[in-house]
Amino acid sequence: MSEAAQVTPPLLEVDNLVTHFPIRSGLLKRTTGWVKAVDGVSLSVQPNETVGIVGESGCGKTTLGRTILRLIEPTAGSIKVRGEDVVAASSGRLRELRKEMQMVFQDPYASLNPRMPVHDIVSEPLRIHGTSKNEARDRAGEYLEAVGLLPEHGNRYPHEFSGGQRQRVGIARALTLEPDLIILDEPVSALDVSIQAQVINLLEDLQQRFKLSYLFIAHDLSVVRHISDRVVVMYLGKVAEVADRDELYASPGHPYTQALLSAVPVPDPEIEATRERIVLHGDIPSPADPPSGCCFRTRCPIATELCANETPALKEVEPDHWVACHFSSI
Amino acid sequence: MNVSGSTNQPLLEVDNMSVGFRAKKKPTAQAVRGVSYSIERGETLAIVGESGSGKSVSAMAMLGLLPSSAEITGQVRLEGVDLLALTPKELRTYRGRRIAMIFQDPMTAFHPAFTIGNQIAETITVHGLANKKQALSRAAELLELVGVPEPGVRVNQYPHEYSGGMRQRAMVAMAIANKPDLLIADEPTTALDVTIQAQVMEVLANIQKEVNAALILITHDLGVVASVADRVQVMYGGRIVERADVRPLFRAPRNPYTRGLLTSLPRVDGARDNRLIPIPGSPPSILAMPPGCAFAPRCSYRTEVCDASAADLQMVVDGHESRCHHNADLPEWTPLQTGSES
Repeated sequence: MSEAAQVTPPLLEVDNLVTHFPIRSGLLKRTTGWVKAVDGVSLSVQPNETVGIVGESGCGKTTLGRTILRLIEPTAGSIKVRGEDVVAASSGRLRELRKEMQMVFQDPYASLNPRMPVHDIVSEPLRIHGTSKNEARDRAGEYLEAVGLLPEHGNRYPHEFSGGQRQRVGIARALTLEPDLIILDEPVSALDVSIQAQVINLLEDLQQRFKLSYLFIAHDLSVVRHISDRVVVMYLGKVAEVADRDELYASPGHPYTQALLSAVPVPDPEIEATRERIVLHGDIPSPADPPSGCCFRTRCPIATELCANETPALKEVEPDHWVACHFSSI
Repeated sequence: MNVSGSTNQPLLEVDNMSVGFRAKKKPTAQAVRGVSYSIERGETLAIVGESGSGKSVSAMAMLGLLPSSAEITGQVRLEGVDLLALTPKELRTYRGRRIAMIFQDPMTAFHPAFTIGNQIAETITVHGLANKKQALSRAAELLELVGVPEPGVRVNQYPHEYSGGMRQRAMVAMAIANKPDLLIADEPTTALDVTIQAQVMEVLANIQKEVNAALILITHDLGVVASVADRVQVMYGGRIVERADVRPLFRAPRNPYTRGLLTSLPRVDGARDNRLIPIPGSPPSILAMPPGCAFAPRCSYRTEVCDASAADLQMVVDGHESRCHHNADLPEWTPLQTGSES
């Protein structure tokens, strides 16, 4: 990564990003603690690359996505888009920067305004950025076609569409400003299997056609494996492991990644009959009160005293393969 | 309730069950259309399908859990007794006693104002099987059995004090409290994270073996099906479209819909790296079912006969049934080249 980085700077570079939410309680609403939703995350996305972020509920993957767009203000750390600082940007400049970074949300039922016809939903970003109403409408029609809907669908309202079609509308809306990066937060997890595959294929086509980079946030390891070039595994607000897709799935170094991968059942009874499964014990700790040292140690099958005392750093165990574990298997 | 003289009778027989929902000024919505199957003690039958396929409604119907707008026909016989013909009062003696249900959403399935222990104990006392005190200590034992830590403390806690995975385990404990003959689990792990899902499925499978219950597992997750089911039936448009033992079903699926589901699925083990092959279009609305085969509008093997009439569920090879007019001329299924390791 180091030499290539000299030639083309990463499209997105996140360094040591921290997002903490205050816990307020009592009559005076004093801050009595912090939920460490994102706690020192670094990652980069190259042009035309798909980076997958996987983790279970509460690992901070959604907060990370929203913080990168500054829909949530970061507590510390830096976010750079083509080298430009997003955290320090003024609100006017931020609006310009958001043209290059768009978002697709998980819930296609809640993320579209039910009172707006689809044309208006898709063209609204353009109108906000000063395109005339007629031109915005024409362009919206083009993008509706690009996501596999008909231009005349634009006159309908969201409730007239199925879940898969609504998600296509959300994708069309993200495309209209011709962004370079789209942050997709669980874009297919609300969809049935047969529809999910349609949307995944669409995302792959659009990436080629419009030269897009994706930050693909999901909990489904099979989907992430399919679509990503590189994968970041998160646990309790921290990065546990980063590697190229094939490397990560073939030889995971972090015990958490190993457990995650072994927990996913494979749709093949013959493989399932012989597969060894690592079943983790216990629940995910609260991000308001994470364990000392390594945050995974309370569920880790190989944890020792060292893990309670010392937080493992994210180390490069192989070229471009980073693991945050004292006892990485690589 | 000793079983005598019913040696060859399956535990549960569902016979030509249909469920429709009446609505004003609208045609009756046919959610389930003529479903028949049976299940034996100790067996796990997976019912697979996407939203709107009728998989949950068919289970709710046999337990009398549907609203009064539902019109249910057919028979559901538990050791010969037709559950659909019972009065609500009679049915209550079966529910939670001989048949128990595990619901998808552990957040809403418990009453928030009663302790978990009280709610588990109630399923025992309501059938007059123990007094309150015995039932409460039984509740603690059950919680221990499903792997809830510190059951003595946890039994007195309220649902909000439990995590999602723990609540789902408490629901399993409640379901098995009276050692039912039949367990119905409706998407029991869908709301859970994968590592927690693995824990709960393990608990459920072990407990089913222990009490030798029959398990009907309703799910859309083909991975879960492959790991726990003995037999599988696939539903589409309110009908069973394919049924087989789990291995033949995955090794050589016979119905175009089942094949489409499998080619749509990305695989975590890397058995499929090429492009996904989705099923085009979307499932039919239950208010406007196609007149012939419900899958015909999305099927690549569709011909005139498919639009004209629905096929019957036919035995294709030994023990493997499929509902398709093209059973005989469907091309061979090309299995995925599965990864040698992982």
